[in-house]
Amino acid sequence: MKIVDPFLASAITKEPKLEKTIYELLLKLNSREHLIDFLGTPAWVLSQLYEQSVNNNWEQGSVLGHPNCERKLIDSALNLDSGDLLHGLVHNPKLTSSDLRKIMASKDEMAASWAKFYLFKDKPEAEPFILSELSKQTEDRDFILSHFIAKSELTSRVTSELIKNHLHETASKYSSGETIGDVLTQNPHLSPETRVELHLLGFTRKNEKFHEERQYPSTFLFVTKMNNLEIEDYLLEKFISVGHPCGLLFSSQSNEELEFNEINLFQLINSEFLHRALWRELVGYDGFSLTFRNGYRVSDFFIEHKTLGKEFQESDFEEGWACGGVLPGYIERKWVEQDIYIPADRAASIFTNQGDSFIEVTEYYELFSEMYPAALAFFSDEYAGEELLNKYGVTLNESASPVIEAAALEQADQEDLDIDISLNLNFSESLSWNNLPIEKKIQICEFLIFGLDCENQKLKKDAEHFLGCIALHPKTPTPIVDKLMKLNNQLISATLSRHST
Amino acid sequence: MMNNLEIRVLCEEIQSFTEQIDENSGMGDFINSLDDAEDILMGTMIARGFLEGTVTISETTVPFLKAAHEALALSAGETEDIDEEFEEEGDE
Repeated sequence: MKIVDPFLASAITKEPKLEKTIYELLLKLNSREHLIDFLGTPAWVLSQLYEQSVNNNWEQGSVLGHPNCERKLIDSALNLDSGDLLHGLVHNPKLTSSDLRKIMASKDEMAASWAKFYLFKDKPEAEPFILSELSKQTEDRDFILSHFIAKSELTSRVTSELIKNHLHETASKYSSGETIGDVLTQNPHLSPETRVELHLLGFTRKNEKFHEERQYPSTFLFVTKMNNLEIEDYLLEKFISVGHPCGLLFSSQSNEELEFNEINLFQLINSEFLHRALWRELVGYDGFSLTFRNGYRVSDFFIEHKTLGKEFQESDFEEGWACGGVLPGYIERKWVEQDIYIPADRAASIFTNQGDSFIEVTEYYELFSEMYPAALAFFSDEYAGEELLNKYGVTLNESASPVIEAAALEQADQEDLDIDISLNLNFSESLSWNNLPIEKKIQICEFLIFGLDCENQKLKKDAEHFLGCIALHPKTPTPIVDKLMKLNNQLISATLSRHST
Repeated sequence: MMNNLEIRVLCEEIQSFTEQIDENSGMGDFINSLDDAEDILMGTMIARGFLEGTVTISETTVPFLKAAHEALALSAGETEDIDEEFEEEGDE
């Protein structure tokens, strides 16, 4: 699904020559995923992306799937008949029937199935295909069958056949346990009568809000691995001039017309300007500090504090990202510094986990010089170490640990590392809650209070977190503190009460 | 009983042999030619550890160092006088 960033679109509409500047910047920042996801990405940018991805067929395929992709690239891909390219291309809504028929005839089964879907969706021609697939065993059915059942307008014959004979079957071997009945309930074209019938048979549409609510336009100009410093002030001002809410954090900018809605709140929070303005000034106050949680598929950057950090601290390791205010840790930010290390006990296990014994582990090495830290690691191992030390008559000295740790750091996977995070004191920060005029503080506060009623749970929690930060900040003016007290929000009240402890 | 200086010389030679093997074919062939590979490899690693101060050795260690030295020397094609040089000293 392609997304539209209303501020990017408005800035370009207001000043068309900005298009070149902005997209050249995004190309320079290597924001490929964003450029592919953004509906407005112009053809010339996509063509450049395509050329840059010459060694990545999958990424080229994604470019081909973009509706603004140049026709000559599409024609060339159709002739190449490469699966990786066709997987992306087939989803391009600008493909003609003739293009789809060409893909349908390709040797790539998955792309061919998708082509069939786009060609026959909502058309009576889908009927023979669906009925034919239903007559097969589950494991022999085409995966695309479930997409037809979930999304395509179905003939009454197909609907009736599904309800009578197939509701409890799985659609195909890729259906991950979902029954045809479950899939059918997702179909938006079902008549009210059919829906009632399904309901009576025990099949009710599941709430998919969780997936939908994360589809907000990106604020990729602000949150990039190259960080905010790479965005020149004049460009930032262009965005603020079309109403981007990050202007709230600048004393000189007026945001009188800012509309309080979820998209604007998402943009404000994801600009990370609130994080910078508030967290930086709170570090060191009332035990507030920065923290990093790193592990397998986990990379969370957040804070530690008695009240504001409690939910994160108590959350499941993999679920911390869902807490309000938590930032993805894998993005490089110049306003913080990371100290990446591996604790001594884990360092040794990087080597000892490679095999049951030292000799087994040596298979992984070609040189004596590479094997040395592994030998030291086995000597230090809490299980096998003592036996080895006795056998060879050696004792391990303190200087062995740094050798093991340094080598382990090079060999370890990202998830094995510990990361300490702190403010970069050399970063010249222009954002400050402390220095904002009271009118701006009130406006931000009211915007975040609006956020407490958001349907999007993450945004709601983000808003609550930042109101909590504002409650904790020693320079928050009394009128705002009074307003926060009246919210009767548990987290905010608990944080406010920290001032009296 | 070898003194500290003799052990250092032994370890330096072991280290020199391992560097030589690393520079040439790597240790794959060397390991494959050994019957007691683990002890020999541990001996070579202990030698480096002794030189770098990461391990402290004892009398129990010396035979492993000698065995490593002998195997490495054989592999490096330097078999001359090895036995005399270190084993005689060890018997004293």
